[in-house]
Amino acid sequence: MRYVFYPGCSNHASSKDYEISSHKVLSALGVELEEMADWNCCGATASSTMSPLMSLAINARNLALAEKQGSELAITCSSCFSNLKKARDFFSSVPADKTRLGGALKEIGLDLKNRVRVKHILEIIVDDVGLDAVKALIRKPLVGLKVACYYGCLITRPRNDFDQPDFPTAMDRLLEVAGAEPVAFDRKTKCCGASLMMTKKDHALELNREILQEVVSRGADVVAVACPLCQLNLDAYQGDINAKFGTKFQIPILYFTQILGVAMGLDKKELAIGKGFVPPGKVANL
Amino acid sequence: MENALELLQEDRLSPGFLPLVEKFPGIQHIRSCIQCGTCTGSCPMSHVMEETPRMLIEMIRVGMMDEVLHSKTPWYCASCYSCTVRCPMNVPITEVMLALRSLAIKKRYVSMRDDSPAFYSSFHQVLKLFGRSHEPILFILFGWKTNIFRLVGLIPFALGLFIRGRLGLFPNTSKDVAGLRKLMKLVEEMEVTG
Repeated sequence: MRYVFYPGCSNHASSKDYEISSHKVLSALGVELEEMADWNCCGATASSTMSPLMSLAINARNLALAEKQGSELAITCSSCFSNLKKARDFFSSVPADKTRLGGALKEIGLDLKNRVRVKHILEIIVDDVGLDAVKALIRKPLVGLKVACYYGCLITRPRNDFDQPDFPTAMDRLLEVAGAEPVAFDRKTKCCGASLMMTKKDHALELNREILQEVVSRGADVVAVACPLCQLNLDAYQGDINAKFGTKFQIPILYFTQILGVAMGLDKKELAIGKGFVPPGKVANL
Repeated sequence: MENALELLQEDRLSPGFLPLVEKFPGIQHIRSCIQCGTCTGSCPMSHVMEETPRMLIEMIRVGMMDEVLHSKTPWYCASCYSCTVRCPMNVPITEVMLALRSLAIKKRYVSMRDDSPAFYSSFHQVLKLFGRSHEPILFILFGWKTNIFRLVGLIPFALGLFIRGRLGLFPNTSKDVAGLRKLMKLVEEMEVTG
């Protein structure tokens, strides 16, 4: 299985641990990733704030570059995934050739046929590799590890092809196969506030406090995430949340790839475990 | 109800506002909204909004351009798409909020020194500069536009990322930034000509 890989900006900085663990786990699962040449930032919500048309244009460039290299695009960050998928869906309803954006792309030497499929790596692992194949590679089942699977918003919304927008189950099913015990979690798709942490910090801290509160009440040892921004908000701001609300949260927030990697018997250092603001806790001793 | 109708002075309304919003890519079905309030009920931020998403959609339809573009609501939107996926009439509410933000910026209803417009414009500028994001320069631009002392508050956060190897000191750039910038310029021109 071969995919064109779109790392996104976070994977080169704040979520390096996500990129490292994703490569490690996917390669052990027999998935080959080839980085997209000369990709550009998806613009997150900033470019669509400045101009929704601009957001579409810069992601059309990404899609046009991707289809030169392959037919399926693998993405780790949920925000990148959502933006690229949005552009992909847009040009499925209106062929790029019939839009002025198509003309603008031609002027920089690109021709968008919209042939590439946009996939999140969670979808690739659960649906393309398949849970049976994953199960066969589990060496150290995570017995006794209670996991709260936090999907955030953009992995399932506005739409994907593999799970429900409000109550997704893919990550729960995957980590169950890895031997862990996923806990019931009502806020699994309740927003972490994303960039509001920069612009409306007090309100964003409140959203994260609510999520962490439920994690504690469900008795989870660790939160599994699939998005760099969810990870950053829940992990790096836990200290601020504790200071603001007088709470004593000390909950490790790990990427689902890191937790799966431990179950597959991969080396914890090679999975970049321990780069969080909150120490990895129980997972470090498994 | 009488009071609400009195407030709606016809000469203060902009009948062209709804068509203007509908020009944005992917925006449709605003006219089908049944005002059920599922969007507001689903929104994680609606409790701090003066005008809820449901109200804003109706205000767009009525043509209350000034009130809508002055509203803080779109800037409280976290772009989580909860409203969009639950809307029974398929109104792409999140896209509407993003369109309203860009209209408020273009029509100068907001100051570019306010936190939200300053943050998003800084992010976009970094993208234009390197083709990719780079947190240190983003933070400096953001601080420069809003309040330079906010950088002091960001130091522990940035340091925390740095010691964990999670902060790139040097920007990572796309090779063909020139091509990307050319594309962005063409899109900007398209927007001017309409």
